[in-house]
Amino acid sequence: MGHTIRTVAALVALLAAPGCGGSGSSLEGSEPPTPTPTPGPPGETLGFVISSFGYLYPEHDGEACPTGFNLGPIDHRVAGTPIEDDCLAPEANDDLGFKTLSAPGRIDGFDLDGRTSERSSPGAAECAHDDFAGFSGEGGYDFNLWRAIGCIRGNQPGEIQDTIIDNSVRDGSSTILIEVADVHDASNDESVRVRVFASTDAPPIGANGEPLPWGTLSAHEDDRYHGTEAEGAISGGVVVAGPADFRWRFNIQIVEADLSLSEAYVRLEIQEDGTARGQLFGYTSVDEMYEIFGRQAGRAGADALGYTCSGLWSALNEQADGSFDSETGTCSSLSVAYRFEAMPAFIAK
Amino acid sequence: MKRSPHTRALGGLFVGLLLAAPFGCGSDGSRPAASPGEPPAPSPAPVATPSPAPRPDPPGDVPAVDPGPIAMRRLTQEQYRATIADVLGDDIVPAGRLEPDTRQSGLIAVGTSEASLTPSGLEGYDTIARAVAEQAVDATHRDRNVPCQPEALTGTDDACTGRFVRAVGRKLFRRPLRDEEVATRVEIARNAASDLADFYAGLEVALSTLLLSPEFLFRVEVDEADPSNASARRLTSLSMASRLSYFLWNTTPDDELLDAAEAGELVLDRGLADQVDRMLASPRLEKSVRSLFSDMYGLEQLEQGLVRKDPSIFPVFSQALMRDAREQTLRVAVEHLLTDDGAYPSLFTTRHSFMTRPLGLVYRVPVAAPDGWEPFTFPDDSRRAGVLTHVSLLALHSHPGRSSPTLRGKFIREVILCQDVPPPPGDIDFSMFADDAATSSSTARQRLEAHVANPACAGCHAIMDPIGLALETMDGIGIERDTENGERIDASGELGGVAFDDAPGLGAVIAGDPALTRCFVQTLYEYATGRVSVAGERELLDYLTQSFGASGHRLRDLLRLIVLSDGFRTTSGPRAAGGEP
Repeated sequence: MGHTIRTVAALVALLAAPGCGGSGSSLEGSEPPTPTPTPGPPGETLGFVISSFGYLYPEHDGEACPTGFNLGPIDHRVAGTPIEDDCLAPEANDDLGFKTLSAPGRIDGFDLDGRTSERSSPGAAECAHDDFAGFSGEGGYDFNLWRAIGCIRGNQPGEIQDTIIDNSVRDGSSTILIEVADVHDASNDESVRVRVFASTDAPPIGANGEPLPWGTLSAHEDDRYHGTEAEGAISGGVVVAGPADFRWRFNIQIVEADLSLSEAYVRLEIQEDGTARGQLFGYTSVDEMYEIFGRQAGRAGADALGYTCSGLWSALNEQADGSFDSETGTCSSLSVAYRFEAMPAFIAK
Repeated sequence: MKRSPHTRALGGLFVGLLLAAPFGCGSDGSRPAASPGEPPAPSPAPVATPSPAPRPDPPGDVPAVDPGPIAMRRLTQEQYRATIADVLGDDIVPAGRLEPDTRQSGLIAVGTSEASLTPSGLEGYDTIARAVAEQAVDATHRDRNVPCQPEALTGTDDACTGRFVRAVGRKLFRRPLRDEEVATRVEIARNAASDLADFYAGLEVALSTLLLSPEFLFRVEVDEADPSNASARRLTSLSMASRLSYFLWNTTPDDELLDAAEAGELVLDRGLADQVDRMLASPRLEKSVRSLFSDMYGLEQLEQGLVRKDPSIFPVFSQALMRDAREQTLRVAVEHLLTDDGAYPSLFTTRHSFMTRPLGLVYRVPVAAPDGWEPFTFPDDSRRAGVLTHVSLLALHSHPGRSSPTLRGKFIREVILCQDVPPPPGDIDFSMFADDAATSSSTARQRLEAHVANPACAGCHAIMDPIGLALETMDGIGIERDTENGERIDASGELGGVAFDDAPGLGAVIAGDPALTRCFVQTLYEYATGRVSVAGERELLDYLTQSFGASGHRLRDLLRLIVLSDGFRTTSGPRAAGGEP
């Protein structure tokens, strides 16, 4: 089996460049970058393996879910409100009490659709939805998956879903690699290229239980799990690149499925110690999302996290804000936002 | 439950056979003049055959040697396993606890001459012998290991048993068995087979007694008068076979070598040279080189879990990593010295290596192969060059939580250059080095300056610390670093008046130091003979060193020079009990 490894930067030397890493983690602007071609020899390639991963949780001034969290099938039975719920046929039943998240909030997000959307006044070719604001008062950050699932108990910070997803990137269940190529200056570079790969290798874990830097991980042997190349730039040590399409393979407990991001952007801040942290943004189809949480996680997932499949199905469709169909006026994908931390790594392809 | 054939058939036989075995080595006449099965000493005439010159012409005349004694050398764990694999098949598993190897005067090979057999060790060998014997004659392996078919599976067959005992015993004892030795085993097998109504159960018991015999567990070297020199003694042809085979192959002699030994050819110059050339050309030579470097550098400690690191400081540490680190150094030694026929000094400057993904975490380099090994060459501007910058030696000669220029320097002085470093005085105050405040606020160079200021320390540390500090840009497990406690590390120094700037520079200086090759010759010679060299061998070692240099410092040539030298072939006689080697 032939492998090639892209040349990897002497990261320390790159980071030693003036102005590195001093700008904090927030994005200086939310507009998608407009990369310009860079003449000259190719730069270094930086590799990373994600070592911590989860939803990019919004912050709210008040209660995000003022009437509480959703109930799962068992919760309904205990509450004396038993409900019919078939995860393989979610359209067959209704959970009229299913709660979605409508409260305003703030995230360190990304404006995927290029506008500040309000549910009350949707634009042309847009499904009505509310954006989140940024921490500096800016608006337009898309994350409508959270509006669909943000009032599910098991999806809250530190709850079961948060833990499962976070562990999955460390135990080989869902390894994600990020490659930043053509880097001439890790602090400021007008043109870099970014790709995201899935991998079946587990990140190396140290004797202290923490991920180790500088492991070599192989990109998935199936190139369907090699993301398309995103063009981008580095400003103040922060890489922003997109759009591109990424696909992961999830193999977590009873779930084995693909999860895709389309029209996706990556934002990544390289730290002085060579690690990185950042966010991934994009759109995931309703069908793919329901495949994981409805059909595959099924009743077990619904009981563990606290939702009904019928309620989830309805919420995902109602909150869909991407892949607008001009004929039906409906959308079939949801904007998503994830946060991650990453270790420097070598990517074998 | 299967009834063990040993429980009834053996009784006290093992102990009896052990005690009855004639393996004493005293020079007082208790030792037989020749080993059982030894051919008669050849007449002086054939000995007159001129010795073939080693391929590179050695400088000057071969000096006379006043050799050291012979000894009885216990098989190392590695030799035991290799011998079982070669005699009975590499799918026979000698599972169990073998007597630990002991290191003497820097080498396990020398320790084998000092090693004894403890009661618990004997129990371990007994357990393993039974397990090995059971596997060797079971239904899966008997066709391979037993040279005949019994008249009946449920009965006895002395003729077939005898053939089996002679064939296997010759390889295990490294000599033909005497008739009475065969007869004893045939009787044991007959009784067991009769009691258990199982022919192969009888063979199993007989094989067990061979495996537990001191003639197998120990390499019993025997000497004889040298017909060409009335005042000298030499190893017998069969003892030469064992010494040759375990030196050059680290396992038991093959049939061809035993045939040559039985024909008395190994005490003849031409016959010995022919066998040595054959053995040096064999792929089995790699086993010996691996064993030599593992022994010389103490790398078995990495394999046996004896090197530990604080996981909070070195989270990358794992036993698997340490095993890979050992293997990396051995692979480089074999590749450089055998495959590439490279010069020994350049082992300390070569940038060529091998890598696994776990090792890549420490070296911080990409490794394409998901599993196993791949060649790797460090770039010219890398701080890695030569075996001294390998993780194996860096981790081995460090403390669990930090590097140690002193330990690294001591290793280089003692093992690489064969220079004595006296032990520290007993009243040393270590607080200045162990104190947290001190260790967290300075570089090792600054901390070790205290040695220079203290007259009790200065003398010895002056020869250890400066060269160890050259490796300080690699931490206690071998990860590169520029700074310690925020201060830039100065890796410069000097050795023998030659200055260097960094670790590769140190390797280059060592590679050019005449003490390096002289030390290697001495170590290899002692490894070969299983004892510390004696004063009467000094001129021979000087000669071997010069010849090694004339050969371009090629390992095969040095091995050949040593084996053909009188130091390897002659002896002062058995070592006195409890005496110095």
